[in-house]
This record gives sequence, C-alpha cells and structure tokens, in this order.
Amino acid sequence: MKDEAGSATASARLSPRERARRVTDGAGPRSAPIPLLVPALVGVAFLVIPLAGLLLRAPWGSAWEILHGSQATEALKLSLWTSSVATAISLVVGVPLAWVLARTDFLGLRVVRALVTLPLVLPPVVGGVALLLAFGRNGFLGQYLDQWFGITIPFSPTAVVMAETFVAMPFLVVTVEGALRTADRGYEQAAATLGATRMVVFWRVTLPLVAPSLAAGAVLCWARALGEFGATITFAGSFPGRTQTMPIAVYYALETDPDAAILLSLVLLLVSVVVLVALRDRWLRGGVAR
Amino acid sequence: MNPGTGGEGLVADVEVRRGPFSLRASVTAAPGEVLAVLGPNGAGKSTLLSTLAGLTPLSGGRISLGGVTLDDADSGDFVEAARRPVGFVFQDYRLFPHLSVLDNVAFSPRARGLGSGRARRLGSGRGRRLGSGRGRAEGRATAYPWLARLGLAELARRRPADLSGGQAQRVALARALAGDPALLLLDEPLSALDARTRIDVQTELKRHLSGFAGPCLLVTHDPLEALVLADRLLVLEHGRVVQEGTPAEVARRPATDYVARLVGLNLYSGTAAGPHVALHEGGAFVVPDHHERGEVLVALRPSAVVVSTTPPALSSVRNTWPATIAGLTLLTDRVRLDLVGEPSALVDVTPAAVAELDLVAGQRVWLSAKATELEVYGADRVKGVAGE
Repeated sequence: MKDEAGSATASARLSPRERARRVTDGAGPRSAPIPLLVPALVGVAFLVIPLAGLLLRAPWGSAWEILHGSQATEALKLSLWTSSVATAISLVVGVPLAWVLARTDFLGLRVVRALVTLPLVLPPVVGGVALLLAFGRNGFLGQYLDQWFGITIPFSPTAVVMAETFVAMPFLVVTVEGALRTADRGYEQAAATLGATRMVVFWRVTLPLVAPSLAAGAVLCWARALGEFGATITFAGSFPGRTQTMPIAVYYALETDPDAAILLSLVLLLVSVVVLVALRDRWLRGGVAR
Repeated sequence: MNPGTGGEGLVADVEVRRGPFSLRASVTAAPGEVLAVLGPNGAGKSTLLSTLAGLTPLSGGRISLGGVTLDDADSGDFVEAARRPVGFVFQDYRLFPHLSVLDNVAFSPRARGLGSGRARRLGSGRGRRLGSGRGRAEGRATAYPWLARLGLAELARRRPADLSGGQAQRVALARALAGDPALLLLDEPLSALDARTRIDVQTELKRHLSGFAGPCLLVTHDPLEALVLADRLLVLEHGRVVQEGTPAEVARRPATDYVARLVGLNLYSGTAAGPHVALHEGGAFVVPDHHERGEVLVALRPSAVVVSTTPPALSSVRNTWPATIAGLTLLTDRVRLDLVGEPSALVDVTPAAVAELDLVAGQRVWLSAKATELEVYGADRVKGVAGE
C-alpha cells in the first residue's frame, strides 16, 4: 500500500471497477484504513474462533447416539418446555405490564419501570438467590406456601420456569413497551370513534399493530430463557430429568462426557442462529406495522 | 345559541383552552345540513371536531346532539368517544393496516354490536337472515351494503396499503357511515388526494353527504371544497368564529382579509358617511346608496377594476386613484397585478392588456372602479348572516 503522507498530488491507481462503483454510488472509498481494520479483524477472530473450535471438535460420527443418550435428551426436553412455558407466562403477564408502563401515568411509574427492567442487568445468580430467599422453604413467602399448602417450589421444574421467567420476561416487556410507545395512537383514536371500547381497541387494533414487536419480544424472551443458567442452578439446582436444563447439562457434561457437552452446545448454537435469522426476517423487523 | 335548531341536530358551545391557544365557538347544524368549517392552519378546526367526537373534552361549554348531552363542562357530564353516535373521517383516513377493506368497514358495526335490527334499516335483508348471532359475520353483513353503495365491492379483500388515494378515501367514508352515526365529521377529507382525483371524489362525496340524514361537519381549508360541498359555512380564525353564512353570502361579503383572499376579493374596512367611505388604510371610495353608517366593509372584485397608464379623462367612473405595480402573477387565463396605493388592490387583467400597455413592476398607473361594483356592508352584521 502507498504512503498516504506523500505529496498532495500523489496519484494512486483506481481500478475501473472501483471507479465505476464510486461513480454509481457517488460515495467515497469503501476500504478501511489499517488502524481501524486490524482491531476489527482481531475482534472478529476472537468471536468466531471459539465457535469454529466447537465445530471442529464435535464428534460428528457418534452424534446421534450421544444426543439420544438419556441425559441429553431429557435436558433438551426440559429446556424446551420450561422456556416455552416461561415465554407463555411472560406474554400473559408481560404484555399487560408493557401496556401499563407505556400508556398510564401514576406516581412511581418510573420506579416500577426501573425495577421491572432490573433483571436485564442483574447478574442471574443474584436473581436465583433472591428467588430462593422469597420462595425457598424458609423464604418469606415460601415458608407459608410450605406450611399452609405443602407446596415446595425450590429445586423443582416449577422453580426452573420461575427462574427463567424472572430473567427473560424483561426482554419481552422492554420490546413491547417500546413498540407501544412508538405506535401511532391515531389508529386507536379512529377505533374509539368507531365505537370500540378500550379493551376492544387493545385486542383488535393495538395488539395487531405491535404484533411484529410482540413476536420479536417473545423470541428474544424464549432464547434468553433457553440459555438461562445462573438463576436456574441457584434456585432449581441440577437434578437430571427434573431441573437440569441444557446449559446446566453442558456444564456438568464437560467433566464427565466432553463429547456430549460439545454436541449439546452445538444444539444451543443452532437454536441461537435460528433465532438470529428469525429476528432479521421481515416479519420480525421490530417497530410497528404500517 | 341558535334557537332555530332546538333539540334537533347539533348544538355546541365549545371552549378549549390549551396553553396560549384557545378555541371558543358556537356551532349548530341541523339534521341533513352540511356545515363547512373553513379556516387557516392552527385556527382550531381539528380541535373543534375532536371535541365533538369526544377525543378532547371541553374546558368550557356544552355539546348536545339530538337533545342528548354529550359533554358539559359545568355538570361534568362526558360521553366517551366510543359511546358517541359519531362517524369520523380522518384527514389521513387511519384505515387499520392489518384489516381488509371489508373488515375495516365492518369494524364499527361489530364494535357497536349493530345487530340484525339495524342492518335491516340499512337497506339489506342480509343482516336479518343471519339471526341473532353477533360478531364478525354480522359486522360483515352490515358492511357489504356500504361497500356496494360506495363502489368498493371488488376491493373488499384488499389491504389499505394496496388502495389508491381515492379508494382509501371512500373506504374511510364507508367505515364511518357503516357505524350508523347520527353525526358525521370529516377532517379535510380530500386534502390527501392529488388534484385530479380530488375533483372526482368531491362530486362523489357531495352525493353521499346529501344522502346522510344527520348533521355533517366538514373541516377544510379549501374554499372551493367548502363552496361545493356545504350548505353553510363557518369561518374560524385564531380559535374564533369570524363569519357564518351560506356559501354565496360568504363569497360575496367576506368578513376578514383571510376570507376575502380565499374567495379572491379585495376587502377594505372604513367609515361610511353618506355615499363616501373613508378607508382605514388611506384613500376613499364613492359607493352606491347603502344605508350604512359607521364601520363598514367594502368588497371589490379584482376583475372590476380598470387599469390605465394615463390619468383617465372625465368619465362616469366615480373612483379613480393612482397606484404602483408591485408585482405581476400569471394565473391560468389572466394576469393578477399587485398594486400599492391608497388603497392597495389586486387587479386582474388579460395577458394581452399587459402586453399592449407595457405593464411592468414599479410602473405608476391609474385605477378606476365604478361605484356600483363596490359591495358595501356593515362590519358588525357579517357574523349574523347565517340566515336561519
């Protein structure tokens, strides 16, 4: 490459193709200067090499047998249904919550919003400890559940769902709240003049209009629930078949059965890629349908 | 308030205070009457509609429709928008993008639970045959006749995004009418259309409005639209009613500069004494016998003024005064001269006259207008010419 600090009139060769492109775009060069390019490449390498390692080390030949080994299948099943239930709960509770945060005004609204979104930044293990202290056998709610109803939550599949919901629901709430804020209220006004009560407006106008964001929020929420580790292992433990989800299974398998750990990781990687593609897809582009 | 309308139709005493803006207007509209609300941007036209629809509550005053109170700031009574028998056609239509044309039009019948009883009144037996079942099917059954009436039957399955401007406008009208409203509100219904479509839709709209039984309010800033569509005009400026009357009255005797400009007239205010009117901006007119005393308005058509390059010789024309050409604008078939003098005036001449007289900006000319071309009327009488 030429020294750019040369004389002002120093000319460099411009390939016909590059020349044509610049003429068409009316834009400047598309290559990156070295001081920006090198760190960028380092960053890409750092993020991609580990994933490549996963692919290279995978025991492709015996993949089927390993994944059908009882432990792995059970973990996969447990993860799928608990994260789906967690997403369902998040939808039922989180969408109304998002609506309240976006559309109402009351004293302390901002505090509520901050508290609700706290799990986004809270270390999950702290969430697990908190859940344990609240719903554990000696927790301030859990002790009554135990005494009065004989219900014990910790270290059960219910605890898995609760831990995942705790960590994942804010993703849905934040996404949907944003969409509700930017949604064109004009449609809701129009619906009102057409005789629609507030609940009819919500079901027939507001929800369909934010449907793309709703779907995006649900997918994000589900993906986050699927990958949940810290809160789950703290609050639900790691009982194979009962509370041992995929990420936890991966963690334990790494010591006993590295091949299984790698394959389970690949499954999670595949799910992540699918989610990413889905989120990039047109119907999930976020925002509001126009 | 206008006693002529009594409990019938729309009787509204509207007051809205919002920061520095305030709207204060008395509006009445009889059943079957189309009232155009005309005014510049920010005059409060849309706010007025919004209060009638129940989207904005009143700060003061009262709204009643057919004798039923919809809003009363004193007693606190307020009927929510969803419970008002009002149809609203928005400027941007606001068709629900996720619903088909059919379901857009069926929205209101469904939301209002318009059953078979109402559907029957709408001229189709379809609703009756469906029996007592409510919801989607019945809403659609009520919507079909409206689609047919507005020529939208073939578009029933389309999404709003796939409609042309004129089609979307018709769907918006059908959607508002399908809810069987007692009051119809249209906010600049044609402003989103291009000029060519507007003429077609305007003619069609007039037909549909004349078929509507209740009072209808049409907000516009296009005087032609108001003249064509409305039975009566109400001019709103800075949140106040400045003129009310039939289109012909408003067009002939504008009350403010804004209205005069809209209808293309020169308007002067002055003090009348016998056949002489001393104009406030300087100059004077000799006017026909008018029996007016004190403050008057004088309207003068731009085409009624004669332009000459030399002082005219003795003639029967009573008003002659010098002026300077400040500008020339070519309108479609004539040239409009902007003249500064005492008084200033807009004057229309033919392009041929401009060429023959060599008229250019900055030139000094003489204007003359026959006294009989001047329309003189009392400044205080304009608001009351509603003629009810």
